Amino acid sequence: MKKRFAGGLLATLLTVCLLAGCGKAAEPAPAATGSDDTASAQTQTAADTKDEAADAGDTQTAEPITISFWCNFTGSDGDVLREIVANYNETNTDNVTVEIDIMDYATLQSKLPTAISTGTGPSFILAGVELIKQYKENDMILPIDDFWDVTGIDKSNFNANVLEKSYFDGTQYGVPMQYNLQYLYYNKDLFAAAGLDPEKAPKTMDELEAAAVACTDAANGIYGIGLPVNYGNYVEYLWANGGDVVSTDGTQNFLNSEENIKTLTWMQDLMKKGVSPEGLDAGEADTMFQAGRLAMYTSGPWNINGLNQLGINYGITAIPAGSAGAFAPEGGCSWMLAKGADDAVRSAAYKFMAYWLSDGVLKEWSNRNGFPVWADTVLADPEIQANKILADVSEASTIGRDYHLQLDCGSQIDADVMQPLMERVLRGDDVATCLQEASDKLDEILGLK
Amino acid sequence: MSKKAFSIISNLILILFMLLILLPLCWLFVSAFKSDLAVNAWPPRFFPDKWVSTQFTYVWKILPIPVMLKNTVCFVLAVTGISLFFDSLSAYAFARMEFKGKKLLFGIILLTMMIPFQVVMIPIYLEEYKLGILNTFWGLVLPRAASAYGIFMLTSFFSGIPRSLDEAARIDGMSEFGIYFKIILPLSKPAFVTLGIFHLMNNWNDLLYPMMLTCTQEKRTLSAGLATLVGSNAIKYGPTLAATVISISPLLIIFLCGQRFFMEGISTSGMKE
Amino acid sequence: MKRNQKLAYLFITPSLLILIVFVFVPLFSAFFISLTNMDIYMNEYHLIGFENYQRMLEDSRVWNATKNTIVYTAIEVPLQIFLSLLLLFLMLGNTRFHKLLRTVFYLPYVCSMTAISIMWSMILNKNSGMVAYLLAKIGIQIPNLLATEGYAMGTVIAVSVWKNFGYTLTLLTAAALGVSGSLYEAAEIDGAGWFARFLHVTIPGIRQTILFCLVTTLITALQVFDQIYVLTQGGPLFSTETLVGYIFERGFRAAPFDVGYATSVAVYLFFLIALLTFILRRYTTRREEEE
Repeated sequence: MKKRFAGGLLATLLTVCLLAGCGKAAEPAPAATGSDDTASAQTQTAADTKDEAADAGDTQTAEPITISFWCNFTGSDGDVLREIVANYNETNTDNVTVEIDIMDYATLQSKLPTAISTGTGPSFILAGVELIKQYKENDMILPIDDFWDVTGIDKSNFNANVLEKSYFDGTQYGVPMQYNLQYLYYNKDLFAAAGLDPEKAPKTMDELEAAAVACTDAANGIYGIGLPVNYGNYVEYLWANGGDVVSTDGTQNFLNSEENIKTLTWMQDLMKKGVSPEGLDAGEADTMFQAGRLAMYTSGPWNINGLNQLGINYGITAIPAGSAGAFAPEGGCSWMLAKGADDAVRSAAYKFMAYWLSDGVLKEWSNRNGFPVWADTVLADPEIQANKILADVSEASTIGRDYHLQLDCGSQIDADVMQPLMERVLRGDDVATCLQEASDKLDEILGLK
Repeated sequence: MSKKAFSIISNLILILFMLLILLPLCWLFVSAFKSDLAVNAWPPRFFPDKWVSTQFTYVWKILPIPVMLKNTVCFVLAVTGISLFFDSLSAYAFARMEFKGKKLLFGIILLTMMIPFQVVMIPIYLEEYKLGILNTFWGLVLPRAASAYGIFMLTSFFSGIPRSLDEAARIDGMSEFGIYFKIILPLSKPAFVTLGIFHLMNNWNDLLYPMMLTCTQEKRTLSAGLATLVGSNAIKYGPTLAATVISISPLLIIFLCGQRFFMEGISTSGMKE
Repeated sequence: MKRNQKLAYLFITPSLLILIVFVFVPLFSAFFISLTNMDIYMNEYHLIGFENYQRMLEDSRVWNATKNTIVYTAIEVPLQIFLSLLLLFLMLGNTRFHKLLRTVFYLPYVCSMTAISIMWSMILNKNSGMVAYLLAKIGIQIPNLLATEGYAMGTVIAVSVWKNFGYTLTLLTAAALGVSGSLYEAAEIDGAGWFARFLHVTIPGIRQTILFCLVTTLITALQVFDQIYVLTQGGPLFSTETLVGYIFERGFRAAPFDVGYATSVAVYLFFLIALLTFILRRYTTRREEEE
């Protein structure tokens, strides 16, 4: 009796284990069943629509459909996004309801693939353009080549360099949602207090250094510039002096160069002058700038809405130039259609994406969040042209450059190479040694050893 | 050392510890009423210059708080109730009954406490999907319906109850169920209260678990829902503080209301021999 | 006896069933995953034998994380138990004030670790927090506690103890108050002082509970994650990166989302916890048998 019990237990255990663990391998299309399960409501609506269309051809309003998307807009720009979605839900005549679910990046990353492959995920996704390649290669998103034809939106109205980021191997996988670079924020009040011209932002790295030193007032807790240890875009300083990290195709490692030694030594010296708080965290830098305790720092445009709400007297300008010019890493987000979407979901998602590309929405998004404008018709809008911050941002957005956007290991380069490197440089370790070690690590990640 | 000197010194130390606990918590609660500007202000102030509730209205606006609260309460109560029952049944068997493989089974159950959730996160997700209970109420409750910790704790508690009591009953012909219900359970009320509070707290505060097993905001628990405010791209400290206060307040209120019962329960749960 | 046995199995069946379905099956799946090259997208993975485990041997981050996990545990667990014993000793009088204090000391434990960590990260922040500001005002300059190697781990431990000691204190108090009064009286007649009585009457009386606390806090400590994720994210320079943190980082936070490899680290952690718990229990039960 006992043996049978134990044996049965073991058998059950193994069976269920195999089901759970190897189910994916043994059974190639669970996603199909999955989408059947979850989209049953949607298929139902689609069927209903057909029936009704057959019954009464004159029905104007479509059957109600609810689509959802996931994103990680946890900052103040997420508030505006929520408002726009709510506005769409109220005003659209197609009976579409869009549900928005915002979660932090790590949760999103860990949940999304499993959710999509089991058909329990969202109908569409709002994510960084650097993820398109990975998502496409792992069969998580669908091509949307017919988007422009179906919606009838004029593609030529939008900047080509923004659009091309949503394509992979010539196929369209995303509809651009926003485009951004990194910018230099500066506090005009602190500039004035330090005797600098508040309308004259630093244009070069030398001017940046001079301004940082002038604005620093450590006794009162005020620093010239914030150099956070975990800031992800120090590559812009390296580029400025002709250095680089990795080639855009990921086949070459440029990290260990004379130019980079020079730039990083300059940053280390800057740090030694006490112009930045030590051991600063990137989120903390946002806070300190908002509190008027940092005269300058670099960040993406997503802080603009928050700063405007707080009434800070600040300016925004391009990343300063070094000996080789000024560059800033590009970024952007696109709407993507998750695998498993049926025709009804696809059509509803297209409608929402088209709504996003309408002048009014793009204008609101740029106006309130300060994201650069990338549509010609919006650019011509008088209200946009009158927005000083936005004009500055748009002016500062011409120096974009691709930083590991097409590499699968991009986030690993940031986490395992660049962050430890900058932590060590900023705390005063020998620059040449740090670069050598970081370069070895980068070789390892790129598989160049 | 005289009794008086000891009492003075010990009370001084205790007051110091009390301040160490209460001051940060007070700071947390009053800071939730600061404006965005005041949260980041330098020099930092303990109390807000002006008390505002904007952070709370903001959080209330962007998250379906009442729904999440309802989810949390249902989830936590179900888990606590079911798990107390199942745990105590097993614990009774382990503490009072003899059966083959007892030591082995107990060891195996203890082993389950050692598994970090991150390890089984994805398998559980896939399994729940196969069973069709993903993103449902039971999908959240079932994996927590028995806890190794509870079995472990109750077994050690039951072992402390003098055997003479139930042996007498056994001689009188009482069944095992009878002994469990009529003798062990009434004697173990304090242990149940303690364990109940542990389950209540752990499940209320759990983050990753409900976050993984729910797919929509409407199914999410309070802690998991509020955690979505804290991002890596940008943290809004004001709302974060308010969210923190919202998530811990209900539990604190329950605890403070029931603390007399709870603390007395614990202090009488000592096993006398 | 036979009937009784069947009944016993009946009693443990519900719990066992749930543990099997929701703990053991996923655990065995995890073992299986650790032998594959699965990534988070779960496409086209296949068995690669023990390659992940071999890779672990050469991964310095695994050993660094092991070291940090053990350092954290070796300090946090004794500190938490010691602090609880100290407070227990100071509150043996069981006055009304002491009863109030027990409630106060339990408050942090009621709150979630994430909430507590967010609170402390703001208070301890060198650049905008209360603590650094107030200390600077009276002339004490402290280092950046959460961002300086050597201090960060200490700070994480302190926050964890602050949050958790209420748990051990409560359990120990419950046990201590149950120690029979006559034992104390006997000791008093023998002329034992306050401390001697605590040492020779209370501690032996609650030994079983101390052991329980040791085992459970040890298991929790080896899985430390939440507070580190909020307070330091494993930094500065991986000096607070623990095993669970590394599993999370490798599997879910940074490319290439190597779930297979992350799971093999998790399996290793599981065996580490089992081993340490086994040693602790073995050691303590043997001592018990000797007495």
